[in-house]
Amino acid sequence: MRYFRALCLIALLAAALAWGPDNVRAATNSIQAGISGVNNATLVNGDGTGGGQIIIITVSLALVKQAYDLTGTLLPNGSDVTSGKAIYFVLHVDNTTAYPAGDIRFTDILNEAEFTYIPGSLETTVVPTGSTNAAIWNGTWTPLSDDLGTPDDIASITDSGGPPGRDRLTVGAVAGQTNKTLNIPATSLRAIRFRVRVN
Amino acid sequence: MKRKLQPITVICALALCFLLPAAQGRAAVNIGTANMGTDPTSPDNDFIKDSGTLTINSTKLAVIEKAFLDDNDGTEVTSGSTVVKGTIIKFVIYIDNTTTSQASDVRLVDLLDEVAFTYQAGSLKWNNNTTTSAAPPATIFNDTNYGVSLTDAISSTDVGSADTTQTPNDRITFGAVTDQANATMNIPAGKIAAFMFRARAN
Repeated sequence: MRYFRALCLIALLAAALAWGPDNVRAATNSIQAGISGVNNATLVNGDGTGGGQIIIITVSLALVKQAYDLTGTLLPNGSDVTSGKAIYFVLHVDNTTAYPAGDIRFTDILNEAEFTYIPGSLETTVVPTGSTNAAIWNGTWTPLSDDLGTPDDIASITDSGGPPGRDRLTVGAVAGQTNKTLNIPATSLRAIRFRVRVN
Repeated sequence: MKRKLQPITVICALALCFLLPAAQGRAAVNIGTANMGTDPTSPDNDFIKDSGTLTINSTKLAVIEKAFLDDNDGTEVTSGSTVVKGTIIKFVIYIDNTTTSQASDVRLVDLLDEVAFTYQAGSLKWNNNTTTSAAPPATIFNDTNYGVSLTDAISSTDVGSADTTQTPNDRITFGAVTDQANATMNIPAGKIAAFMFRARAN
């Protein structure tokens, strides 16, 4: 019985290793080649093996959204705050890979019945991958303009209509509100933060 | 005195044959023989002197595939690397013709897994007369990145095509490949022929 359990455990571990997490994929691309034909033993690697093959592993990045009070204390999801209190929203994407992540885009639509954007509060920082919440908060934050500009930077927040006030945040080259292209360097975490008042 | 081959000698000879690397180069020897009034004889003791020994050395060229980031910097993505999903990759395939004669009718097929990669339409390029033999990958990338664009269409007007109607793999071919024939592709002596296309890693 003990051996059976051990075997089951080994089988489960092997299966987990073989399948891997859902957001990771290993993809192979091969070239078959030859003289007056393909894969006919006239070229080295012509059968798509060795140097005629390349494996690329892809991984999904995650967008994280958090709320903080003005002193930098994390407000867990479902926290209670008083009406009229100003808080920070922080969005970040961590590029854990050794290559840049190109043309990242995200959008955040504020519900104006619940939140009022505090003008001029958009900022961004870049910190090393895997940084803790505290390290992100203590990063060097650079102000961003609210306006789209020509575009002038990687983010903007505009009024999408309805009640007056800016409520549509876009970061990167989002269609219809296109900022400068956002690329996240290898092994870096890019964060955006802005302040809102809770109505 | 005639010596008999010892079994150990035969075993050693066979082992040597297996241990030697696969033939990537070979010297082929040929002698022309002739005679008058009757067939040539061997050894050459007839009326017409045989030709001198003619040796042709054949070299097996190698095809190499590499991946680079989608910029003009030539940053290589080595095999087994991890990139972010959605990253555009420039695939570069090349053959270095190290010989002093043209390599004729070279053909290549790349079956691109449609689940893992999405071919970027109109991204085929090549060069076969710029890059000198033994150039490093960075030079090959640069020469091909700024090389001649090819159409995706299957025709004999150029040497490449991309058929994205195939499933489950898009089929990218170069040269006169059966079933997806482009113009015949030759590699000049002492040159590297290189091909490039872009695909998104899904």
